[in-house]
Amino acid sequence: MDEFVQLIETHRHEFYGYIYRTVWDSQLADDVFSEAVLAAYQNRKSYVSGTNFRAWMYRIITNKCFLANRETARSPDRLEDQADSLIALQNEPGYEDLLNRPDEFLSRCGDEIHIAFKKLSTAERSCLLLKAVEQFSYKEIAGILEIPVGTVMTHLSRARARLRIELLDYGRREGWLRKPVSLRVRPKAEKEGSYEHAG
Amino acid sequence: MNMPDRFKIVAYIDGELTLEQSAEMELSLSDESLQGLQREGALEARLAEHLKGPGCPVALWGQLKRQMTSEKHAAQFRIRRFPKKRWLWVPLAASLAVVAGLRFSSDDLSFLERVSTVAALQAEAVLHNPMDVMAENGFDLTIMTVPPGGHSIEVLGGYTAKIAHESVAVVCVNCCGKPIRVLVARRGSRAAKALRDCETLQSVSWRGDLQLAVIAESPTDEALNLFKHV
Repeated sequence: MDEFVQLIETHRHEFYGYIYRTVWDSQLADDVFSEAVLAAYQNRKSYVSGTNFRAWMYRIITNKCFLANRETARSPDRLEDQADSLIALQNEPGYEDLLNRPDEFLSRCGDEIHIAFKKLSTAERSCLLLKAVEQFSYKEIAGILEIPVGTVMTHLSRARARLRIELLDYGRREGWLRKPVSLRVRPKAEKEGSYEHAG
Repeated sequence: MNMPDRFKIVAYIDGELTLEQSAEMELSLSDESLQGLQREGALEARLAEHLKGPGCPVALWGQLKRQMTSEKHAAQFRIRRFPKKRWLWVPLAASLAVVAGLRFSSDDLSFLERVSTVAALQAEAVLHNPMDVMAENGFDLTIMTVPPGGHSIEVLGGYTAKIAHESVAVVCVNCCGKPIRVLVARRGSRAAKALRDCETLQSVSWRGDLQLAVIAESPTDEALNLFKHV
């Protein structure tokens, strides 16, 4: 078999899985995978044997995914009034439960994990998949997506924070995670200096 | 790696810090904090397991493998054109400018090496108005050839076009008798990426903030369309 075809065949499952999680449509995933593989095969002369084939291939794949998702920019979305880093999440009620019993927590979330992941932008999904699943370095991801390393880190930070917040919110809605506690101050006319526990 | 402090903790979890940076991080944190970071890493690994997508369908891969390895389909790929849209004829206006204004020397420079002189031209102007840029820089649309010892280059014309809704500049030339198209796009743009995926891409290089892509096998009769801009 053609050596190049063999290279693609070796990694075909991870490539397809990445595309599927980025475009979130099985038919579209088939189309994008086909386009990416054939485009790579046509441009196989530009691949230098012995260099990082996966990174080379993911560059083509990611471009196809972005085109498929019709996104025009890879700038991070603004998160208003939300934590944008793991550090800020430490104060989120229920986060300790997530950290202490991740298997149980994630098992309870089920498909909600994918629903939450789908809410991320294409750039955030790509960065998170390339780092967490495909184990590329920040620098490799920056090369694949052609963005600065700092932007990769921002995307990762926001993607992780958003994903965790979505799962925590789900747990609270389902009732198996404690909700944030808030204090409501009664108007002065009702009762001087008293507080009512709410939430 | 220099990074804001708020990223250093995550970079530590991701294994992106150097040994020295990691050691410094571990010294600065309490045991409890370090355990917390380990739990973050474990959570990340669990999430990654859930985020893995399905494998490639067997039938899909079989079909693609047949397409790639079939000689008949390989021939089809060679004659297919990119882009599918007719206006995606794209010479390199910057290269045109360079080629048209070249002072020929005995140096045996390759065609793409000659375009290095275009670095002084503004990318925006080149991409949106290549003919005016060339005129302002003292270039004329002309047909010139390199003296013996170099590459014979005939400049046929240049204009602007759109790829992926972005402006690109176009030059069509005959290089040593072979018709080629050279496309100029802004480096890092969607158009630039689309060009790199081109099925008839021959070569690509970068000059400043411009990407230059050589697209070969352009039908010569379509080059006549370029002269409507002269």
